[in-house]
Amino acid sequence: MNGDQAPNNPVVLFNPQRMRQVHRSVKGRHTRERLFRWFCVTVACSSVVLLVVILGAIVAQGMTRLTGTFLTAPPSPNVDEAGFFPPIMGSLWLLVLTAVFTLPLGVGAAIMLEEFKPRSRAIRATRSFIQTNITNLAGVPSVVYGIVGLTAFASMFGFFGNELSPTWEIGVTYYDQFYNEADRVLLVPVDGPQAPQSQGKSGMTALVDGQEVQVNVIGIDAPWPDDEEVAQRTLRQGDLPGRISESRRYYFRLPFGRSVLTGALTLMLVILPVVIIASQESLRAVPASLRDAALGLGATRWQVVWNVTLPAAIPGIMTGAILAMSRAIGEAAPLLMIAGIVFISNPPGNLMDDFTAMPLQTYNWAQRPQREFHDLAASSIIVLLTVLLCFNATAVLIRQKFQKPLS
Amino acid sequence: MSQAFSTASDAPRPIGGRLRSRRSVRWREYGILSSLGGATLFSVLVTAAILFVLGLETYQFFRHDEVSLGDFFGGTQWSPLLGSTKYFGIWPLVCGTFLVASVALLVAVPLGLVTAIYLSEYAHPRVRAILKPALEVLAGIPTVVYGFFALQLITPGLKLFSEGIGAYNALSAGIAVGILILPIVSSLSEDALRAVPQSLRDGVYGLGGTRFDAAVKVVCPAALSGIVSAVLLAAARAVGETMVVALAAGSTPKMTLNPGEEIQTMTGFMVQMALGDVSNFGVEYLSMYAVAAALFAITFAFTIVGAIIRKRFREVYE
Amino acid sequence: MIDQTVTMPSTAGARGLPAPRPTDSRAAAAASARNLGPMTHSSSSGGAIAIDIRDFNAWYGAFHAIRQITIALPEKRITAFIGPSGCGKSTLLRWINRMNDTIPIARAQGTLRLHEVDVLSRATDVVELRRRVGIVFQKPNPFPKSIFQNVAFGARIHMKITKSETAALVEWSLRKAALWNEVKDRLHQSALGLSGGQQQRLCIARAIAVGPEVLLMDEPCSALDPRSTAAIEDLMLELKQQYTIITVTHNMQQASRISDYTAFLYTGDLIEFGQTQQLFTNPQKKETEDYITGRFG
Repeated sequence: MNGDQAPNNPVVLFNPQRMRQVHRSVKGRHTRERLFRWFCVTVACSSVVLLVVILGAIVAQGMTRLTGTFLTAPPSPNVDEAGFFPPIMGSLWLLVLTAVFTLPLGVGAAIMLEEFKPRSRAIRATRSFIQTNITNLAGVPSVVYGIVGLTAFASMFGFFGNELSPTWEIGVTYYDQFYNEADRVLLVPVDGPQAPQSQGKSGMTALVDGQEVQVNVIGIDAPWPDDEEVAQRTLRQGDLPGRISESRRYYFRLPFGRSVLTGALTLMLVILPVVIIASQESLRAVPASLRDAALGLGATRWQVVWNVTLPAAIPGIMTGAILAMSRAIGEAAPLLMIAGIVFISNPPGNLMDDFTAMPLQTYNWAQRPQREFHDLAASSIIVLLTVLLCFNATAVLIRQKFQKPLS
Repeated sequence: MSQAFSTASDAPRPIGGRLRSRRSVRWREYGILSSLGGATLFSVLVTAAILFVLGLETYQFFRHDEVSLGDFFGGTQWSPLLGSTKYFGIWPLVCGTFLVASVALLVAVPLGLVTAIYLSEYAHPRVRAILKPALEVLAGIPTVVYGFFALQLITPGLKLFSEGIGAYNALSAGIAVGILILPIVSSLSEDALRAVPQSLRDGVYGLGGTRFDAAVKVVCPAALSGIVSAVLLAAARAVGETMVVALAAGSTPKMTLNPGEEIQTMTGFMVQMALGDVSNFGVEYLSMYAVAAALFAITFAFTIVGAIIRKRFREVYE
Repeated sequence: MIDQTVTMPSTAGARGLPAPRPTDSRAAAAASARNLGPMTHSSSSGGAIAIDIRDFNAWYGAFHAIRQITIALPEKRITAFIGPSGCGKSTLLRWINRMNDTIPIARAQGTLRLHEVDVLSRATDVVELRRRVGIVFQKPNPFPKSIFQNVAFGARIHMKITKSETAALVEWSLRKAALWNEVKDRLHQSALGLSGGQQQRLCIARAIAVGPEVLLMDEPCSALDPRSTAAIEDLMLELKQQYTIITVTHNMQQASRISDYTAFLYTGDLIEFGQTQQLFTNPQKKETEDYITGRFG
């Protein structure tokens, strides 16, 4: 055994002279260690620095335009009057609708995948396929969802005509609108958006200030009637109407067109995988012992879910849901595909209304060449980030308040 | 209480009352199960819808006389809107996309990886408590904000260093996308590093290794599959990023490797088409779907390869 | 007595706070830094003291894990620490090469010397200390690298050696760990493919490849089957010709089979220490007798 300690042993450990040559300096190793540590600290802190620079620059630029007008007025070509109100309301509509569509679907799918583990091999294979599929959906660029939403929701593959002449609609009335010489507006009801233009005819029914009247048509050269009552329902031959529509709160149509409903459905596609994955993680974090306890009492699987697992997982699910919703609020690309950049001065009034959203309006202002609009963009980003900050703070609060160990 | 066995109905119960009917319980269970199953299948439906929409419209696109598969995949000129002859060669858009993504990865991978090593191997809990939320906030900032940042700060900053940089350029967009994907790289890599068992670090320390030895020579190699898959996911995100490139990269499809030039990415083209006044049925409009299909295929490949690497090459410890 | 708080390997010695310390300890530390050179395989026969522990106390946070232990561990012998769970035997073992530095709340006080080195001193470089005092853990922890790279790893972080030297060192270490014949044809395959017993012998090979004087073994067989255990025990008996081995074990048969000296610890106190044969056949203390006859523990 001692033979392998001979000085000419090829093993370096037994050659003191060689050992002195090859021994790495401990001091050098400690220096390298310290340098690497400082390098890591510097790089890691650069993210904080970046965050501060980004936020600082934007706040500095946007603060001046952040006034009451900005929060309450509609966008305007005049920079000083321009406001951010319709986008804020548009985002609110999108937020509520998207949450209503996404949360039941997402949480339901997560419960199915986590709590109802199948025994048969075929269903197990299906389950793992669906799981992989959800992971992949989470990686699909949001702009692709935008283009899918455009085709599947906005135009519905063209199966129901186009947006200007939808196949089916409810809660909307179309009128031909005449202006007469007494500056009164006569509304003649028509069948649909594509109905032939109505001609002024004596005796036809029209609406004036919401009152039904009989239209009185006079010739091109005839004198204008003096009687106030007759004048308000009088049209001259050859007067041409314009087509308008009046929609109720419950206006609905197929296809959905470039409406706020389409926007919300598309955002649902974007965040559904996120919600499913987050909910699955919080369900998985519920200790199995809790489930076993309930099952041991003879509860059905759904009773276990409803009474035990879901209450325990709710804080985690809510945190995930809020973070997903904040992603939805900040998402611009899919909405850009659907809504484009249009001038919108009113917040949506029903599901089928055109809309704009906060990040869309930000993009709109940011892509213009004039510098004043960039200031507006910065102000809008401050509003957007404030909203997101509130969301994140809520999520963090929920996480901290309810994060108690369960076992 | 001497009854040894009894059926449920006449077992002694502390409180009287009727048991729930088993049939109603079972029917409710079925009802709930099928609605949950429906929710689960919806995700499959979404995938089917994506494939159907992209497939159908891309098929329509290739049916036009002006385009051929060979031109689309072989052509090096993309100009569907200008001039009398339209060119549909996708390579300029792919080139622009990968130019931006490469710049982004060059920014995000070193920064993100070193940040992850620091967070997992070095950081004091108090430093972690600042850094992690900062990265989360960075990850939560909407992409349009990064686009604005690129346009307002990065591009003017770059112009200070080089005259040749235009108002729109791939470099600026790439840097902004890099900052955007930095949290993805760092948090996924950190997860991978933390999954390496402490016993391996103890093994290094027991041999007289420093933390540097443990982190760089053992933990990082052991977590390599997770790190590679994190980088691939980040790459998929960079390729699909839209708002930053729409704002800062420009709209000139170009075969170039010079990041200082104005380019157009696949996503940038899609936004341009969606915003433009192009007829909904023309070949130009349909080309948007073909580009979207190609983009989908690329990001899908990244995601799948990332998942495979993570699964296949993960070290299994006892 | 100086309260010596210890730091992580990265900063050990770097932030040397000038704690009031007797000058002789400082001198000893300085001397140790010089002497911590390459190999120190002395040819001295057994009987000399390798590790001298005096008035040693250790805590985890507020928990007093080891109380006032004084013990001298002889060179080139196998010393076994036995005792029921939680008696502090692993804690003591892990302080000998300062592995407890990785646990932030761990603290120790007293004297712990490895030959001339004051182990607990701030000035002691844990990197050098651990090269001299190798450790084998309870569960085998090979790196997810090839068998060859596992053995070469430790050597490479301490020395700049050539390829052929590395190959010779790996072969020597694997032979020494009685693993060479089993793995010589698959040196470049992953070490995670080995069986548990093989993995543990690989960890021993990895530890001796850096040329330690002392090998700490923290229940090295507890995760292994009886056959692998026998192989490791044979290996320990073989290795004691060159290394001071200190092992922790739950298994009293194992302690009596392989060790020359045995220390019995109970709730942080050293109850009895002596030659194994004597301790097992004629224990001086009642607790020892109760424990080895299986009346508790």
